[in-house]
Amino acid sequence: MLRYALRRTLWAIPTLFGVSLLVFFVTTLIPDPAGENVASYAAVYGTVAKLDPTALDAMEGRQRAHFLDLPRFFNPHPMDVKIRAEMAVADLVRGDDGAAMSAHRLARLGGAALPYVVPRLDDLPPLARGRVAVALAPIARRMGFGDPDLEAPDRAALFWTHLWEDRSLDFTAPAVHRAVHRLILHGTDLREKELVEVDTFALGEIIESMSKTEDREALARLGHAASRVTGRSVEIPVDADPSFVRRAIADWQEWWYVHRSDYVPLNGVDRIAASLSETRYGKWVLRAATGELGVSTRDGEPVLDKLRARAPTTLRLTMLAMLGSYAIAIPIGVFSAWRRGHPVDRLLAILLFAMYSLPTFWAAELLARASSAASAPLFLPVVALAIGSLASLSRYQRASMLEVVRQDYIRTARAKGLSLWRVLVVHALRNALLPTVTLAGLQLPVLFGGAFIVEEVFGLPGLGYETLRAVEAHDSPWLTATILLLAIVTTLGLILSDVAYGALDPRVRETLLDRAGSHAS
Amino acid sequence: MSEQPPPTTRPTTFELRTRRRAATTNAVSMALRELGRNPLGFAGAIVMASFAMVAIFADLLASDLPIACHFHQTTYVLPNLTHPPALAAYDCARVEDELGEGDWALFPVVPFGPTQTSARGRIEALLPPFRPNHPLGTDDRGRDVFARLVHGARTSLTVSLTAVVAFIGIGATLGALAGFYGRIVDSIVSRLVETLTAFPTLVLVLVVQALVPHPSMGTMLLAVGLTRWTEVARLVRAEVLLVTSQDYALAARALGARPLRVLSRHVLPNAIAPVLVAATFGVASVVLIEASLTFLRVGLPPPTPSWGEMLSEARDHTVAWWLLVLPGCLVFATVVALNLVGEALRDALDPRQQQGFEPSRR
Repeated sequence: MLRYALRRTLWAIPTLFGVSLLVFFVTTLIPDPAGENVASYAAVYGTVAKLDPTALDAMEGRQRAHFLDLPRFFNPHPMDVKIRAEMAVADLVRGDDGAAMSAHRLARLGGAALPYVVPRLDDLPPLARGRVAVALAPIARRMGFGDPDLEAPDRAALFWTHLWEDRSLDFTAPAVHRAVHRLILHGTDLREKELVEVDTFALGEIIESMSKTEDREALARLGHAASRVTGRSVEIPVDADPSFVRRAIADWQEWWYVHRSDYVPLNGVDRIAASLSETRYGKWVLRAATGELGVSTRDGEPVLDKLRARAPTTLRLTMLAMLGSYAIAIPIGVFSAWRRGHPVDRLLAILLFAMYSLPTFWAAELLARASSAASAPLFLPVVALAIGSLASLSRYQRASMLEVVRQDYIRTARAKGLSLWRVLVVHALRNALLPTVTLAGLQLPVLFGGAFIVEEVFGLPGLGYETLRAVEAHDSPWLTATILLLAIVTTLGLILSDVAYGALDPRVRETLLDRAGSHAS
Repeated sequence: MSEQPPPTTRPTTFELRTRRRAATTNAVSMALRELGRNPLGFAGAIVMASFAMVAIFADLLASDLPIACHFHQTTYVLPNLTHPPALAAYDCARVEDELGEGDWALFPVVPFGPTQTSARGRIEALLPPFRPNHPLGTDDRGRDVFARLVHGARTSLTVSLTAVVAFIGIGATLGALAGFYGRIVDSIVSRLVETLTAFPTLVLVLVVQALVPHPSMGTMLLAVGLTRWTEVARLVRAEVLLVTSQDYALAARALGARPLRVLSRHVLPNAIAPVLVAATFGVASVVLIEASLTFLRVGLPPPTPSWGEMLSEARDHTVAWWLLVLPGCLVFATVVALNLVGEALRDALDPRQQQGFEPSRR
């Protein structure tokens, strides 16, 4: 039994992989937000290189938010801060059209890039050295050095070499860790200045600590430091309300997940793993697997929080509809199988057929119109949702009862003199129930689809209601998260009903495994 | 569940040949014959046939231009289909007003097009039914309900038939490949089927419609076609496995027939029956999906006449009962008729599934 359950569960792994691939495919339908802009700029200015660096930066940011800068499934050359810095320096050394953009990029990489740039300044030819050093000037200003030397090529190079050699700044991970820790503990301007002095090198530590501390003073300082070094203005004011703080932290984490490779070097195993994880699919699936589903573009709320708030309504609605339809369908099925051909059976057959064909949205709308008086808030939605599955389940139950009643053991039981009632309920129903009950898993996707309609018609604030609002706002994180959640719940439901069926009726195990897995013939 | 063991008597060559010829036409002619015997199925088929006629001849029933006219010294034949540039600024009412000496015009039953909002400069919004000009009233933008219902039938049937043809094509191909080549191909197809089973079709199509840059009828057809083929693939795969294990398929292969020939001569004729049944239920479910999504305003883009769109308008105007009842009844009637035909066909063609019953996948 356990072995069967395990085997059936294992078959879910490729299915879940397939589900993730399909949802990922759906996310690729989202139009590239920067594509059109870049194309139109290129048409106007001839090349992208002459573009205003900040404008191009903004476009790139929008593009990267969807990981569109990464390859789909395999990344042979994952980028990190080291490669990015070296590329920018190489561009500056060449000094062609793209130099302005490269200087801008280098400045954005900031302190995290310094360990890969400054030590190599001496190896560069004098002219190139000057260009690189001047490009670093915005970093120095962010770090708090107002040195007039910085704009003059020869003296700027000297400034950076000196700064690096006297080791007044500590570009090491433990030092940054200590600095952030001290900032959280003491929270003085001096401590914040210490952090700002290593610029973007401290970003990872800063953003990670945001979710670890509750201290509002410290959070405000962390937010301020992060805003200053990145040039984003997502502050966390001391007097902001908690939901704002939560959104701001989620925003920072989201940003870090997207831009991590700008500030962190990849070495050894990390680099090998990155060729899979630094891809569109990898980034997306890893984030989804850790429950980090992004931030809703409609209202800036973390998607996970919204799912937690909305899913119970939908689940309650579908579960009530399922329980309700089973509770009514089974007696109806038994009755009409028992009285096969009786006028009541015929009448029921017509009624069930009509219910089965009734469009859910129409039924819901009619029910909503018919009752302006508020009864139990969930009653009518559940009825509207249950009509279709009630009808199909009753017909299944009737068919499976008829199948069982024909069996020899039923005749034997009757011949032994058992009462009709006892034979029907104890002998026939127990066997006839199985096929119907296992349909529960297959009913799930139908009910979820129906729930979306019913929620919209009755204005119930569930997943469907929220999703339709998200459609209007093109809120892609929410849409993909919802469909992923529903697919996973359905997969689990299917496993559960298969395991239950196999537990109750060992004969069907092989068939069920066969259906779940590939055909092993 | 319980499969009848296939007859094991070996057919002669002559029998093989006749069986082969018969098999291809058998399924369809048998379907029609059996439909004639089953009164409910027959009624459903009649309803569907009349809906199809309405959809095909929608322009003769309701259009913003006459069917034929002689007007301003020119004779126009079927201007409502050809839309001649000379009549670009005209509608039925204006043609009627400007008819001169010796001119004539043959108007459609209802002289309004499905997207026409006004006649003679007047917008008559939310007129209840049984008005001389508008037999079934108008909607909130003054468009004629009869015209929208008639053209909505065309939209609905076009969408569902195209989607069904698409998913039968995909499903039959993948199912045949899976059954024929087994092993890896079969595993991949089975995984795909299992994956798609986990998604509520309605929600998946909804999300696709919401995310594509320009949602249209085409994207919806594609989304439905790519998600609903699993049932057909399962049926065709089972049929392939069953037939290729039969002696006559073995005999054909022994005679040197290539796999494609075995597939087209022996497997497909056998698979037609269950696929036909699945297609009938498929049309019903796509009609429902289209109407539901358009009702939720994520289906077909607005100017397209659709039953679902009228129902969603009815939500904004609770007094306009005709906007709720009429298209709703039509969707209901279509689904009932198709389900009746489907069940009649299944009883006739596919005795193996008789005791079962298709789980509805809306």
